[in-house]
Amino acid sequence: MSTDEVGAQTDLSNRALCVRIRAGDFGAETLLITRLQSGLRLVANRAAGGDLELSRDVCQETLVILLRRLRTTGLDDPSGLEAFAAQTARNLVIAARRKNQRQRTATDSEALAFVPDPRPLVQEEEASGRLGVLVHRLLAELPGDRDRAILTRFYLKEHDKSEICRDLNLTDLGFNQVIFRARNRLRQLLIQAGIDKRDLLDSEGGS
Amino acid sequence: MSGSFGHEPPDEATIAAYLSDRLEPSRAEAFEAYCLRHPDFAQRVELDLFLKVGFRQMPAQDPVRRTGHRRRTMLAIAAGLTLIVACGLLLLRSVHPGALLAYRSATEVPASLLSGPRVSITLIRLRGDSAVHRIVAPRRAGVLAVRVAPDSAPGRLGYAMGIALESAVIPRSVTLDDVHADANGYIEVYLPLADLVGQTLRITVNPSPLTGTESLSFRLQVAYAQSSDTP
Repeated sequence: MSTDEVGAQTDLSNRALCVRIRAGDFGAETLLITRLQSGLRLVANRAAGGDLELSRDVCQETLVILLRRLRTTGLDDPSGLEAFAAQTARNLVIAARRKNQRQRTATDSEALAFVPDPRPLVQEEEASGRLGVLVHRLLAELPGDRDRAILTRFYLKEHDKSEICRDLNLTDLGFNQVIFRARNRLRQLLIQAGIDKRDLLDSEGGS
Repeated sequence: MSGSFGHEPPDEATIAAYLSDRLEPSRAEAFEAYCLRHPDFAQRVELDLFLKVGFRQMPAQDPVRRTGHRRRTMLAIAAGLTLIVACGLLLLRSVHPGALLAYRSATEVPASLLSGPRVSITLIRLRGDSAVHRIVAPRRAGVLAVRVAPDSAPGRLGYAMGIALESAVIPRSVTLDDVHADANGYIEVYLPLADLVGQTLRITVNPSPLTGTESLSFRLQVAYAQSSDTP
């Protein structure tokens, strides 16, 4: 299957999806949400500079805007559904930042010289704090130090995969297995902890 | 760098670069477009994002957890020690009953205890003396005869004599009431040596009933002599 064929199939799916949503099909709305929410959160997270809480809010707001649009006027070009959603998310992040900036200006004139604070927001700390607990548990469950070293080097120290494989005498397959297991275990821990279960984990599809 | 991702998903290096914000903006947008078209892949990337965030959170979190873990470990050790000591006390109590044996006269002492050499000590006027007096007995000796010369008049019921092992762990004691001095003015009791060896013994004498006067008190430490004929 060529890239063009994949694109055409997606276009068709988008078009069908838009038609069904316009017709009041709630199942189609659920499908749309399932398809877009993880990607939208990633888009919003990058635009928001790693603010997980803001990215989640923006994702929700984007989906609301998108569904309202599809229920009423629809999109001129359904093949651009994802691009429309992504741009909406980015715009919402910008708007949220402007709003935040205005609020700061209203309360403190010095905030006119606003410089983004590199420190994480409180909400992000809370969210990531829970993730920290889960990752800590995940590491504790690992059978050997080697797997811990792989994950720590890859996710925390951001070492290249090739560098880790070379240092630890690992094959690509061995490395991928460790990462794959870690992802799946984190997914289970997230489900057990009830963190973002509805938002993040509707589909059990993995890598 | 630009260009969209086609049929093949972005590789691990690209995912890592995206999550570290090292991709060119156009490349990052292409990556996101791929994620929006492939929800399974997007979920996988999101799990990677969570792993990264979780790892970043851990260094600040570890000391707290270590402190909590240390506290829990100390509590567990303390609880374990308490349990061991409690069990030990129960065991010792079962091996050594709380009462200490004392005989009022030689005729009450079992013959087996009297078969060996006799050891006796006479204690006179040691009121206020807190020193421990050491007694070394032959190994085959079975009984210690303690003679005490009271330095106060007897009460209506004579004297009360308390004998206690000064053990902080297993206190054992006996009190003899209605004890009367003999013709020479001594109170005499007989104590099985086996119960006393290695212990510090406190002997108190008071008029009975108590008159409120200070007790006449002695402290003794009993040991067996080291001898070559010891079996």
